[in-house]
Amino acid sequence: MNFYSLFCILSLFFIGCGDSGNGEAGEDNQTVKTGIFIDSPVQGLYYKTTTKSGFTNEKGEYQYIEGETVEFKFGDLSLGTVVAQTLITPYSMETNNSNIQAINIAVLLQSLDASRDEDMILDVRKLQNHKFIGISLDENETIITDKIKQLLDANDSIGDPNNRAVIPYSTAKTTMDDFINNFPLIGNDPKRNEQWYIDKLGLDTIGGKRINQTYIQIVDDGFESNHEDLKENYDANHSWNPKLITPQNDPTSWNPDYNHGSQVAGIIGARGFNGKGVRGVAPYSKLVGYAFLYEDENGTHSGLQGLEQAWLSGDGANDILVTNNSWGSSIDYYYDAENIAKIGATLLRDGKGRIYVMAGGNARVPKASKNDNTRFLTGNSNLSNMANNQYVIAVGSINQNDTVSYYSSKGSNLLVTAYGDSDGNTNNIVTTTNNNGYSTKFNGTSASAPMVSGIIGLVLEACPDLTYRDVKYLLATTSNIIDSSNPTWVKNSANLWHSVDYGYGVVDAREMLDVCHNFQTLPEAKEINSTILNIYPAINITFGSSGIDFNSNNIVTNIAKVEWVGVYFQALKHLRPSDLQITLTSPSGTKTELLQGENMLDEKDLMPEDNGIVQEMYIRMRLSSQAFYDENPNGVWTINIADKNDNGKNGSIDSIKLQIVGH
Amino acid sequence: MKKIIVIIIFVMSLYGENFQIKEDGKVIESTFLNNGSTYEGIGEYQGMKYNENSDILVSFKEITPEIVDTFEAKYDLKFKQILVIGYYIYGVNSNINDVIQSISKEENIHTVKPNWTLRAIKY
Repeated sequence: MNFYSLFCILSLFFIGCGDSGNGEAGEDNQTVKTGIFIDSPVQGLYYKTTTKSGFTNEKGEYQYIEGETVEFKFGDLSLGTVVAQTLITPYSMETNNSNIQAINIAVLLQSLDASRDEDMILDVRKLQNHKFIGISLDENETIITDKIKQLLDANDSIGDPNNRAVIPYSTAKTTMDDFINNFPLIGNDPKRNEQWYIDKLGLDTIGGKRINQTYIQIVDDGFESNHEDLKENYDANHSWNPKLITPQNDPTSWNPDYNHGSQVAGIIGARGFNGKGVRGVAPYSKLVGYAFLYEDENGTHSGLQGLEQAWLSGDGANDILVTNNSWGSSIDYYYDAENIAKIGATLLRDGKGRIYVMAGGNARVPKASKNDNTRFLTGNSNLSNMANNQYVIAVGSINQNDTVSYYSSKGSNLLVTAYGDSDGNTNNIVTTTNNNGYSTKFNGTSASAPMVSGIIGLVLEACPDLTYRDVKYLLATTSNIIDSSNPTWVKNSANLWHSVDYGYGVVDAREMLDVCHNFQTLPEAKEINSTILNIYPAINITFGSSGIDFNSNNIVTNIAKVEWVGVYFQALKHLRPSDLQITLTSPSGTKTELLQGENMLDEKDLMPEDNGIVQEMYIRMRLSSQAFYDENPNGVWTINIADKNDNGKNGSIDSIKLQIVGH
Repeated sequence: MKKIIVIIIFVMSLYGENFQIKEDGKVIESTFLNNGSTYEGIGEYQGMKYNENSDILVSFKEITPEIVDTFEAKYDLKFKQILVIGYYIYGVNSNINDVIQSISKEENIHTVKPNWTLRAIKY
């Protein structure tokens, strides 16, 4: 053993020997430090210091020793050599004050990112050995843009396969500045670790493009636009508050006790990665407010003019992608709201349609009947035309254990679910609230609906050509089954599972983003209407556990795949309609419960002039179902009406119509 | 005696009253509780609320400028706004229920009803 070997053996105990410098330990008594290169974190840049070399990881990290210089290379293109330090940005590479080099680097990295829409990371690993022939970082905007375009056109294997456009100069700079300005607070939303729902929804690495062009509207009681975690995403231009004495853009409510909208807004779009509070589902979205709901001594109310203004939104209406409605009406049979939604869904967004998301309702807990407190009735989302029409997305709620929330209304009209409350051992939905505060107790379908709204915003940001029908279809076909032993799951003949508790399951943001890029927009919608019953005198409905079947004619249509089915009861009379259970069965045998027995179609309120005699209730309602997506509608459909209680309270029906929408 | 009459009138005012509205071309009997100046729907109209000063919503089967002009004067209405979904909103200068009942008899009227508010629930 010579002196050198002995030295090495001894030295290994302290600093290693013959190491190329990639280890974690110190070297020559100098600590190896970790720095970061951000436009946003860039993965796959080559770096080289005197002692270290390699490629930046998914956090944009590289290693160096204090005092070294570091050169970054993008393929064979040198971005520059600077003193190694904790934070290096494209601006660090500037050799003059023009910022041209910095912005060119940003345009290059962002345009050649392998997955632009799905996360914050700029992934350029595929270009580690690329030769950037003819590209210089000193070029002007036109030339560099043209050269990047040529590069993308000539090389299908580099960049994002779903987005080949060169990022505009201004966008690249804004995106870069936005991220850099928030550093070192990146990822440091202090309450993010309490937001278990972000993880459960798979949103941890999905943050959107960070270009703040995804307008999501919150129609509610207003929201606190100056909240520290909302103000950066708040958009005044598209907002409106008609509830003030002098209407103005700021949607902050006149009443500080109105904090519902502020909580909804935080779920959708609390600014992410800003070192404050929480992170929204779409943390770089534009939050648009419309103060719509108002309260008096009799409760909360809404008006038709306000709804039309909110949902159709005047100037800039086409910019708004999604409208979130964390409210509703337990029972309404009126088509005015649906007619407004129809216009928005078919004409806005240049014909692609705005997406209207409705909370499915919190009426699952039985309540004593107004007229007989020994009977307990439960609601159903299907009893509201606002939530069961073909133009909206009705959202149910599940808890942290992936089972239906104790309050979440059933409904064959439900399309999907998201999270509304915790498992009881942790906080509920942590979000923003008034007075610059944060709530840990928010729950309900008011909470689950904005999660879906935010995710749709992210999807439309990535795939802006989707129509409202496309979005509904994607939700139906990409959501995940939960609580699989729940007996409400029904597999339709197109192999899609639907449940009156869960719709098609819990929304899957990642899957929607993956699928949407190659999604072929649905063919033009077609509709068929069929009269199932039109008879005089009416058919009696009396107690009978198996009920009465009403069959359609043998429907023959050029609709190949169902999207939505509505059943219209024009004249249903009954002394106690809450006794009725109504189901719908498709030609292929898929059966869904449109309305459960002991529902909230209570008997007509007792009136003094009726001398206590219960009056027959006259009902003109439409029930609907989302359960038949992709089924072939041809054949005979069956509606079954069963009076489940032998109480001598009967009724009759003389008209039933069926409406099928599909393609 | 006077007190008794007052009480009877008050109690009667709490009873449900049937009013005619017209929707989709059909005249419908609607039942509302009259609580002072406010009318609150019951039965199939539960959640709906309007008052004596509410506007009315009107949609016509056929619309010409002449029809619209004549209509306003005929019922002593004040035109306020047209909604995108087709309703004309009018202010009413007389009893709202009487006006709606009169208008509902017109063949050319598709819908006439109070511009009621709907009870909404924050979920």
